[in-house]
Amino acid sequence: MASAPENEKNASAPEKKTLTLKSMINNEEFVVDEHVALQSVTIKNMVDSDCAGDVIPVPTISGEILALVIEYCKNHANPSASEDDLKKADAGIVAKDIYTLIDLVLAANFLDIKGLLEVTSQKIADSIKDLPHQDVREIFGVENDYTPEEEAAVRAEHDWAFEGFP
Amino acid sequence: MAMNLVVSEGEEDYFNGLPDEVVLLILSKLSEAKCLFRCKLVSKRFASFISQLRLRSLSFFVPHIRVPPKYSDLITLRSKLWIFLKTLVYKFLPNLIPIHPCEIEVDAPSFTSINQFLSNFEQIRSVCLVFPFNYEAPFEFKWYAEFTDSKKLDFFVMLSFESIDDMKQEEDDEQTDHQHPEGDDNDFETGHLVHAILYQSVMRSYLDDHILKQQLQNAEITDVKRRGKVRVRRERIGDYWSLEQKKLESVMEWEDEFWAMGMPFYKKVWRVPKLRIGSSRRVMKRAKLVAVRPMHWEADEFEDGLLEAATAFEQEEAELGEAVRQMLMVETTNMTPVFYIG
Repeated sequence: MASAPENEKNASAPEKKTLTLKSMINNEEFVVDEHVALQSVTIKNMVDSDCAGDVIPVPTISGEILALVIEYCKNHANPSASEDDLKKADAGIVAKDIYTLIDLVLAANFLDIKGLLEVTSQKIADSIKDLPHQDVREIFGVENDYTPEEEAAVRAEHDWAFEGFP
Repeated sequence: MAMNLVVSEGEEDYFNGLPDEVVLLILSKLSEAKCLFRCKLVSKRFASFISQLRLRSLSFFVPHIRVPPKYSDLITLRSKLWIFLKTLVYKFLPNLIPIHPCEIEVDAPSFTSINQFLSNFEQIRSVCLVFPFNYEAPFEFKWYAEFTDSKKLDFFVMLSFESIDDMKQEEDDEQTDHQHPEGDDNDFETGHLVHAILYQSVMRSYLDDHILKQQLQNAEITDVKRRGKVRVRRERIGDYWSLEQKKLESVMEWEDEFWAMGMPFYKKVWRVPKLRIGSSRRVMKRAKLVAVRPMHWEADEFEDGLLEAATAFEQEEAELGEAVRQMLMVETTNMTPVFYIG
């Protein structure tokens, strides 16, 4: 979508390097300043080892999620942002439905962005905290591998934890 | 919707889409025991993750225990609290306190012992027990108790106050505020509250056994409104033992047999009708600080270590810590041996 207008700048200004990230899910492209993108350890390693071309393809991450990741990186690359501002901005980024959060945590893990991984996991934990285990199963896409007898046994062991839950 | 991204092709179990370390990270953010146990039922894999968790701290919400209405209608405030706490004690400390099961009718969910619960984890460094505590006092309060060994209370402090206002607001109210007599009409409630909290502290001696076994760094007991906490700190246990050996002959045998509540306590009370807190420009009205220590403390050393209470309150709100520090400098009533709870 966005193109790189930075080349227009005159030579006296220090050249701001940019990278283009491309979602391989829906081919959306994002142009970001290099120092913003380098918060991703994965991208940093690619750049450091000269594996990065003009366009860095990002597999398994949709444009929608990639936009959130970039928003996070931009906020945290801003040296004048106060801790409070960052907290608020982070809260805004993770104020999403649980399935978006799961995608986001996967993206943060793949791109190796520690801070984003932390806030997203915390938000997921907060969201599943009061859910019955059947819902947690569905959210994580886990198949129940307990036999009915085993399930009953585990449940009986901790039945206090299931008070008020199906 | 976006879930299809998670599915990695060729894997028979598509939960593999979420890498182990991510699942572990998410589960490690669940600090409440109840919900961790529910997650055990998600799948065997989840259950194995949960036992591997290296949690820094785990909160354990103790189920609410209901006293049947026919009791609560009849009994006074004091016995109500007594029954409530005895009930807790009965549920948690069956070996320590001889109470006949028929004495109190308890309508409570069946409950796993703390030890059984800790055995589900390979490593936990601290535990927080959260008790239901529904006592409504006609004032605000914060309390803190600390224990230095497996049986005895080192100190208990409670800071109570009627209100806390901005200084300006308080000047406006100045004229209307003279009707309060000098005497403290809240003494009754304070007294019972202290009793109640001390009873609650009994739970700690039970916890201690497990702390030592489980290599926990510290344990906290608090109530749902987080008004206070009981804390056991490992680093002080050694200090206590050396102190205790010196005093060995004065320690009565039943005291060990029993529990911390069986011993006499001294208390000191500091009162300040209007406490000005400089840093936040606020005024605390009818502030009262109650400190309770076991009888073996001499008058001149009674206040040793109480400043730590200021630090304890400070963690919640800086101005509360400052209030405690200021009040400790105020002239106080003498030590009074008020608590002898058998």
